[in-house]
Amino acid sequence: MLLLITIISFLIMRLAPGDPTQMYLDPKMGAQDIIQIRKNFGLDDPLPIQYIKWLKNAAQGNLGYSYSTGKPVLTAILERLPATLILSISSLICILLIACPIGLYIGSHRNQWPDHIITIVSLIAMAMPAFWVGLMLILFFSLKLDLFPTSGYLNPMLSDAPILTKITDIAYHLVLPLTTTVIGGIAGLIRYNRFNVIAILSQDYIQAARARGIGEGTILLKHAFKNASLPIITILGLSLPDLIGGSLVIEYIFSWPGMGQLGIAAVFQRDYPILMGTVLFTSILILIGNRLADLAYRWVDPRIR
Amino acid sequence: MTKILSRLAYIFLATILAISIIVPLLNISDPNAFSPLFTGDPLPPSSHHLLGTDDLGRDLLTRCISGAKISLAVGAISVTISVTIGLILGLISGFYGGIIETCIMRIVDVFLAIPTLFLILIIQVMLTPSIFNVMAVIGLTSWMGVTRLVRAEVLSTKENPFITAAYARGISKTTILFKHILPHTLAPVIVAAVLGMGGAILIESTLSFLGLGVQPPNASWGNMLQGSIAYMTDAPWMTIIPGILITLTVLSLNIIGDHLREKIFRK
Repeated sequence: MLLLITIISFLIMRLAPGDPTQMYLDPKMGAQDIIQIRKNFGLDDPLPIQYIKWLKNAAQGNLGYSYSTGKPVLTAILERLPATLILSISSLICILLIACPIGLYIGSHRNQWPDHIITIVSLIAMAMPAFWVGLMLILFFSLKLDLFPTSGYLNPMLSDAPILTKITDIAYHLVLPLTTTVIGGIAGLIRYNRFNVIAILSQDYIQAARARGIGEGTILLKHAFKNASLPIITILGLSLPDLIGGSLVIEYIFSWPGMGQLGIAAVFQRDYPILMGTVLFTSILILIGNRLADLAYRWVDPRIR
Repeated sequence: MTKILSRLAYIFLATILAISIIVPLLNISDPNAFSPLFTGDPLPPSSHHLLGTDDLGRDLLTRCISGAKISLAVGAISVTISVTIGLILGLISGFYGGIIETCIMRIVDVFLAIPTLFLILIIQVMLTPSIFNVMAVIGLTSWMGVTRLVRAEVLSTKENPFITAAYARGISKTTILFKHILPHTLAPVIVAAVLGMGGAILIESTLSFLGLGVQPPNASWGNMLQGSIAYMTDAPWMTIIPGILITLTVLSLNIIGDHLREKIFRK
């Protein structure tokens, strides 16, 4: 699977027109220098050989060196990984914590006014471009109200500060990007969860529980919730690519120093090794996410253990 | 309530469509014309410019209208491309099965594991950005959902007695596929196409916002947002208005998609 992903992304990147050597163009350079640069980067070899070389190195943990900065790709990505993980994991947690209770509530109180309002709001949230949500949040909360910083990750002045101050500063910068990703990811899940809860509440075993005189609250939390949470895990696993893809732009807008920002910069600079690295890492993240979803599924549902 | 919502959605979309087609034909104002009142700063909404102007003094309302045409066209054409690919691949893999099916579904899995936006960005930066490239690239990277959908439909339709009857009458495989199975898959595909158009408009706006989509001086809702960031404090209308238009359009498409799906399922 990973292998196929690397092959496809490799092909797309190399077959496309555009030459990374143009980055180095300098009026003083002759044609000879360009040939030399191409040779140094191994760009003269046939494509399959280039790919096998890359793969061999990658297996040994060497993902090549950035064309633009000369840094090893692995270091560049590992530097950015914590920021991406902080953003994506915290938004996943927030999405789950908010979507589950809301879905459960409006699913069990169908066609009442909270249900209508939340349904309309989540429809609107699904229709908004993620980057525009980010811009609006910046407009109102940073520029108008001056509550949160417009962008950034950690105040450079605080690089020597104690760890607790650092964490609060990162959290402070995290609020707006986090809200943006949560708005983008939560709406679909709430709608899905509502639909599920409605379907489950009409099933026989719920009726049986009601007949035995079990309170509505207990039925919801103990009987319906577990079954309703199963498909949520699947959906969450499936929506990971969208979540990570969406955070590309969000990281870009908030100058959040994660992999997405690195990837977008690499796209503009035609920095193939960095691009390959980021695609590989995002794919790995997504596969890990799916794996975790499978495991969680087993943990929640004893039938498939 | 859903009835009112879907009615509103149809009305809104029809209005946008009508305006985007009719107004440019009337030739009232040029989306690239500069306002005579312009002094260097974006003009706020006024009686001369109902929605204000952008940083170059171009009337925002006119640009929104001409942007509507481009955004809707990109959405419609890229969805046509992705649905065609998805339909063909889904029909083939569902009907013939075997190695072909395994291969196609594997490719689908791989494409699904790479974030679409990432893939589009990579391709888009390699090509010279133009409206047609945007359409093609969005279409070529969003066919996976339709493929899965069509394949599932074909698999379930294939088991019907009327298909067995068709075989028994000696009808050729191709005829069965196109005359008897294809029509059954179309309803869900139309729903997917309507919902997909909303998604395509969102992707187009993101691409244009990053400067990799529709290029100026052509206006699209996304590239109108691109220039607006620098003026967010002084001219917030430049950011707010195109975003609202995108949201309302995609919202309408989603509501219409849901509405169609309910109608189909009720049958």
